[in-house]
Amino acid sequence: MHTLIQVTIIGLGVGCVYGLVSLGFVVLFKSTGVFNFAQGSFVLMGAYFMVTCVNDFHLAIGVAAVVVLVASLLVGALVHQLVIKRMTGQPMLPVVMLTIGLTLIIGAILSLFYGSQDYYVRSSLSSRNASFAGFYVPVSLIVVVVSSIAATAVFGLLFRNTRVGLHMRATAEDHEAAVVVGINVDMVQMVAWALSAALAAAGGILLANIETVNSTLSDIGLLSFPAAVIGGLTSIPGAIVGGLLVGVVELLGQTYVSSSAGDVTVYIVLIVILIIRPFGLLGSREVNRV
Amino acid sequence: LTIPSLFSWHGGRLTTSYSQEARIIRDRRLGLSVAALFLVLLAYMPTVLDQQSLFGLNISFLAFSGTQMNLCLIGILGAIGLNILTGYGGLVSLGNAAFFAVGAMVAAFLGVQHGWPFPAAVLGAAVGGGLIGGLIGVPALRVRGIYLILITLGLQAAAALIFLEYQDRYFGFGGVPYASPGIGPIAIDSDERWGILLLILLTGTIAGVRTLLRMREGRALLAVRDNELAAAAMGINVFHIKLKAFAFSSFIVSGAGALYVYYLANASADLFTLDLAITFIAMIILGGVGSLLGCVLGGIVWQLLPPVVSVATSRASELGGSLGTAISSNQGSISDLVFGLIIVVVLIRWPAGLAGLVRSVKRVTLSWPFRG
Repeated sequence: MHTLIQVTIIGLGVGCVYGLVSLGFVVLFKSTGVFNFAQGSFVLMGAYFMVTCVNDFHLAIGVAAVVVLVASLLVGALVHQLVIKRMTGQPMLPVVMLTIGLTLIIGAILSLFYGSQDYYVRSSLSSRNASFAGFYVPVSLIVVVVSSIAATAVFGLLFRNTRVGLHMRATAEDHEAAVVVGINVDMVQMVAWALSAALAAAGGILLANIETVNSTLSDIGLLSFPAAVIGGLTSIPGAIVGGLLVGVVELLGQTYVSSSAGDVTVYIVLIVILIIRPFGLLGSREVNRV
Repeated sequence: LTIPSLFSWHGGRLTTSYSQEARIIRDRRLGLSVAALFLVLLAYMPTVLDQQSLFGLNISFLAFSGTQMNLCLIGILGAIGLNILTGYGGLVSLGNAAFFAVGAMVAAFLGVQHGWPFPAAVLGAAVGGGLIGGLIGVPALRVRGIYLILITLGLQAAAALIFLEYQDRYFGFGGVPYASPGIGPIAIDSDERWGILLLILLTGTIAGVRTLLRMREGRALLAVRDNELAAAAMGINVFHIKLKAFAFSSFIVSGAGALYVYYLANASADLFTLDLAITFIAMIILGGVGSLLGCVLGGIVWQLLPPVVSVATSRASELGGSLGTAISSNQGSISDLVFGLIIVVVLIRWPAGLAGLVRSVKRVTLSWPFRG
């Protein structure tokens, strides 16, 4: 029982990161209809940039995080302007394959610069532990949880209370109608790409503080897809709930099934949920079923 | 067969009766000449492999070997399997490597552990893969096509894990050894024999897939791809058709996987990565989504690109500087980069791929001197 609760606590911490990454995925899917396979590459990019900013440029963690976030906003916007924009109006299938190509490109460029070795962010957070009622909780994990909640809240406010957020919601609701009422849909999609990349990179930044940084971090992106689908694919709170669930399930699988069975356990849960509730835990029922 | 008749104006594009429309080979003269060209090339192949030169052009830098040719043929088989799903069914799957692993596992179970002969083991692997594909398709194809990407991603994770466990339990660290294959008394022990076997299988697969596409099920699949609602309104059971396509695609891919491991004679879990699945997607995009010719062309380029990249990158070290060394010491990444760029550029600029290029060349030459 003690192990179970301990594992759940750590899982919830990691799940916050999945939640952030899948939030980025959902935001993009909601406002552009693109299934972005390259989400994991943005996570990896965020983590590697964090390594460079902290270890090579000796920036403070907070400053480095802001720099990396701004950089990834730019990368996201650039990807949209250079590549995705040219595919506007195409069916979903080629665009998905395009993002698979992007995954290869971003991964290859990152591995040219960073190689395959392990990096550690010299973070002041990583070594300390707190304990609550006999359970061990790393301080870095608390920071991760707090930052994820903050990022989600900021994002929710942005989506709900700003003009850009309104435009994004309108585009998500009805692309053509949004064009008709004079919304600059191209701009909205660029913002969506930038935000999505930044959210993924935020996941990378947080992971860099709690884990070793190497090319396998992009697998986090792969687990953010089930998180998004479990949550309901178009639901913003659903992305967070799905992320937390995936984090916990993955760790439970690793602990109780086999050390390499984490992701398989997640997919089994995904299949079960797809059979019971094909529209996800918090999704709307209007999925086009056949 | 005279040369002018090859270039006759109708060029096989226009038909005047239904029987012409229904032929497998639309233009017999064109079909015959392509077949003849193919046979000539085939006869020339051993010379090319032997002397490493093509029409006097030195191609030794490609390191073109019988091994490469056979891997290429197996890759094309896998690409055809994927294309049935993606090109003709409009569904993206990342499960190609997983079904390679499934085929490898079933082949190991039947052929290595139970001593089934090679053809039976390969056929068993294909059938087993098809059944597993059918089972997995049930939850994956119920909802939007996007879910298939996810389920196949999960399948990839599961297949890699299961193969690892299976290998650990029965064969250990060295991987699964596949016994020397043979059909009856004929041992398939050289690259030439493998090449002939694979060519026969590939020709059979292409003919089979072409025929299937012209049958009721195949046309229903194309209708579902083009407009799901309209297809359903016409009385096609969309779910059943997708499920059949998925099972058939898994059948071919698993068979290709079994051939792959028998050809390599040894397989371990790290063969079947997500990257392998992605290279199949790259192959069909490059060749042309929804085209059998595209699978062949994409497979050939896929096999020839890495040697070209490695030659180019080893030249890069002569440039000197840190970039030069970075390029020459990271051939894998450069190869990925080139593949990624090809996918992106082809999708944006030439969505029909290499097969589209061939099609437009054919249109222009066959209707000459008229403009097609």
